[in-house]
Amino acid sequence: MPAMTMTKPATKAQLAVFLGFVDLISERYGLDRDHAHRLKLVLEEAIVNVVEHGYATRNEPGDLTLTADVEDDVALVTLQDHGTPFGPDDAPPPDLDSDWDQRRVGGLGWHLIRELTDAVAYHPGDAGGGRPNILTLRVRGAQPSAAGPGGASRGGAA
Amino acid sequence: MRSFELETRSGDGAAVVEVAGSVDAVTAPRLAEALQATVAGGEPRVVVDLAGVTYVSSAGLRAILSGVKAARTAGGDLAVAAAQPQVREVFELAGLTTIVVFHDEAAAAIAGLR
Repeated sequence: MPAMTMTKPATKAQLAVFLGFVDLISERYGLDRDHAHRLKLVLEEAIVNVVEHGYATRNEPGDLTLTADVEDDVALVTLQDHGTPFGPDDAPPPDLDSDWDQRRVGGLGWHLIRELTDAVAYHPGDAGGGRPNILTLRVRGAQPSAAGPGGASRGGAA
Repeated sequence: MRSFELETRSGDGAAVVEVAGSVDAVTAPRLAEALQATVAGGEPRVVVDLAGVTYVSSAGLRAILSGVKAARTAGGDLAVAAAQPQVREVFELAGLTTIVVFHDEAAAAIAGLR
């Protein structure tokens, strides 16, 4: 099956459309429930990052292109946008330990992405010029092993 | 198909917020608003029944955490009931199971509220 791709404005109004496309990816490729769940979670967090951070300071929202392919039970997804770069190293570290009254939820999106993928690669673009930010995520059909999560790297290979 | 339903009912000394469907970046604000409104309306003892929830993202976690903070600040508490394993796993990954009390059923969650 050829790769699936969709380009839409990266706005909150389009979030439901993007999430619907993520469901369609899992349906078309016949992913099992667990794989589909993790892929959806990873992609939602990545899409929201672009919507809330990439274009947050722009007057005119730009586009986000989502491309997905699945081969041998491995989903490989690429997000391309022309917003302000916001990669794994730009998010605050997640707060997983503070007491309830001090707990922050910022940074959880990237944390969940790292936990549920076995490879993350982020290539920042030139913030509105011709070169897009490119985020590549690899989500396996089986849970990553304890030693398996590849973590995040800026400019590394997926 | 994505869906989201929410219903709040009072009684038994606690408000029970029944949620079904996908608690994502699109729908989570409705949950957050319902929890804040419940506490602000004088019911700081809240059970969020997630039996019908198939998916939760960090937006949903944020809604629950803000509800916990509101409830405890008002002298009550918020507990979660009947979370499916995949949903509970997201709470665990985010370190929220040390803050939010989970119960298998809503009745136990109501009884367990302090």
